[in-house]
Amino acid sequence: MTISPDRDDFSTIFHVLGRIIVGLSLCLVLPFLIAIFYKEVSAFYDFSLAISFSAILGISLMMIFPLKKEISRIHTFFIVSLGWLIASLLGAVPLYLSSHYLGFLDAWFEAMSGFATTGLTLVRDLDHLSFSHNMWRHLMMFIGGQGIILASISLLFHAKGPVLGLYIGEARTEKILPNIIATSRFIWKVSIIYLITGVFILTIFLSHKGMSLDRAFLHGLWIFFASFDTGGFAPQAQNIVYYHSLNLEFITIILMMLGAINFNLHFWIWFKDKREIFKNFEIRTFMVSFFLLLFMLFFSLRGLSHFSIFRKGFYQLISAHTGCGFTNLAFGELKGISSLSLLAIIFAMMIGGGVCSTTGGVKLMRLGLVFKSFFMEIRRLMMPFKAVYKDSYHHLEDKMIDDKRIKEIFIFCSLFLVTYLIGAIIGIFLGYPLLASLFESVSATANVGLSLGITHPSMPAVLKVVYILQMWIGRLEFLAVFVMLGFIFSLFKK
Amino acid sequence: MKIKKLKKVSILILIMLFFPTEGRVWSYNRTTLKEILKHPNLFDRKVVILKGEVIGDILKDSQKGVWINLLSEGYNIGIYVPKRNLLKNVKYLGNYHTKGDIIEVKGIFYKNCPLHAERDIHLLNIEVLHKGYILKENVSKLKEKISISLAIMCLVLVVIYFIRLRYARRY
Repeated sequence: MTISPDRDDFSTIFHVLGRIIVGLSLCLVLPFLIAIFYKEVSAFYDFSLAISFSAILGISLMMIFPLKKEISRIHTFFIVSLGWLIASLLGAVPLYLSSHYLGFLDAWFEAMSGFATTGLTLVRDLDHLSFSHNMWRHLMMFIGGQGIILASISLLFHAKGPVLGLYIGEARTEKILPNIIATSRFIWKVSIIYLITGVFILTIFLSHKGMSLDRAFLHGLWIFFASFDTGGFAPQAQNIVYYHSLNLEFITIILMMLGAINFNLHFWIWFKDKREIFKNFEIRTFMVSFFLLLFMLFFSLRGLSHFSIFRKGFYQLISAHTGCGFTNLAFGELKGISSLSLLAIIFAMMIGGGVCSTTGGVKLMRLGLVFKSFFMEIRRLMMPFKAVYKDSYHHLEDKMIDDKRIKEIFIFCSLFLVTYLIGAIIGIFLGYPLLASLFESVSATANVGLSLGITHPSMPAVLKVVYILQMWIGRLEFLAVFVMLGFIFSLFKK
Repeated sequence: MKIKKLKKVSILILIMLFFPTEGRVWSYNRTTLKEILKHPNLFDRKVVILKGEVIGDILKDSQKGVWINLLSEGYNIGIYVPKRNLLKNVKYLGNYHTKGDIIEVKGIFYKNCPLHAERDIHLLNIEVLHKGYILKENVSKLKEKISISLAIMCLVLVVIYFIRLRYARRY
């Protein structure tokens, strides 16, 4: 028997969505202030309009739909799924008004890409985009990377138990502290500490490179947002190669890695046991997968100098594996590298980083457990018929591998694979080559942002919609979206 | 007579073969950035001439030179400038408020630069074709009106919301 939401449930859902929208309008104030500071008149009106429109919508929802029930499991799936959709639609408003997008669909694509920390972009003439619009593009990644709903629950809610569903709905499967509010606040604290340190280092570095202090600060802030939240947007059209700096690439590698590490592991290393970094199952899985793929890449790029292999291969691979999507390659250069290298990057994108991090994809924990269960099965078959065999892994503590968890993981992996394939098939159907279609589809679903050139304002509208959906469900890891659809279906069944 | 003519022509051909004029190189590789980036093998380590807008910043390199970035018909590339004083005539760098100087650069295109390990152009010569300028912002009247109306509506709604909230708390 399944439960169906009633009128009071929908009133509660819309009320909470109203709160989230009000929260979003408050976030829009930052780029609005930037527009005032830099005297960007057109941008000033774009953000003023977007703030007012979002606030009116949010407050109206809160007034029309009172909070009739405590937030429960049934509400969380709607709030998370619709929250992300509405946030991306409203986030697209100032972008659309900037005239740097072909239409609203392109602006929505950009906003979804930002919130989902993907980094695929449809902006035109990025080099002449205002500071305020650039701030909004990058801020969306920070908000999305932290979790839109997570931000709301830590700032706007006082409830404790029921909001766990909201947290899990945003693809965070682990609690760090017993209390979910404390967990979300810890994630914010960690991020703010890294933010201050990262932006300080980047500002110093970029001003030393010759940028004016204010530009260095803003570029530093945006690079931090894009790398730590594994987003991949950049303030200039050339992405990270604009800076022509190996040292900057090293800094971004560190930030990408920090963003791709499980927040739980950050907590453990900071407050409990530093040696956990060497024992952790996710880190070990990362080492194995990364070096195997690196070997593949080295093999395919042989002939180039070590320096070139590092900049063209290693950087792309780490960017793909952490789900960031930064690139230091010129237009068409990624397309020009061998198919084997592209396959290595596709695999890296598919895998992603740690669970409870800002990355997308299948995630290291799941991949590791898939392989562990495979070897477990082989060992089990090699044992006497009545023997009971269980294996364990170390993630913060020793944990047994149980069949229920393995089943869940296989479902997730299958869903990811099917989504990767559906996107690729649609790409092929629209006339794009197989490898490029698969590359772009994986990049969208796993929220990476590397592109072989398909993602362009001139691509078919159908494909833009497909990638928006892929970014959305990929970021939320299917569960919240599918359960919401299930509830809607149950209403029609009634 | 005929032999004399033939001799002259042969000497001319020889001169053309061994002493290619600068003009010949220029005309051969005067192309678009799109062409270069789409066919990097054709232009690798060759002198190219490009026209485009200087954008962003002048960035220092770890070597003694500096970098500028060129935007040409929607495509970008980094130009490595070995000596900063080559850029003495470049005054405007393109951004939101500014249209950057339109320059013509002559340089060597590298598919895989041995010095920087990236796809770049090493500058030989630069010429400012058109000076940049400060861009004027055009804001549509409709956008202004809608923005102001929505701001007023929003303020009214916020006031109503807080009055309702206060009323609900009291009673």
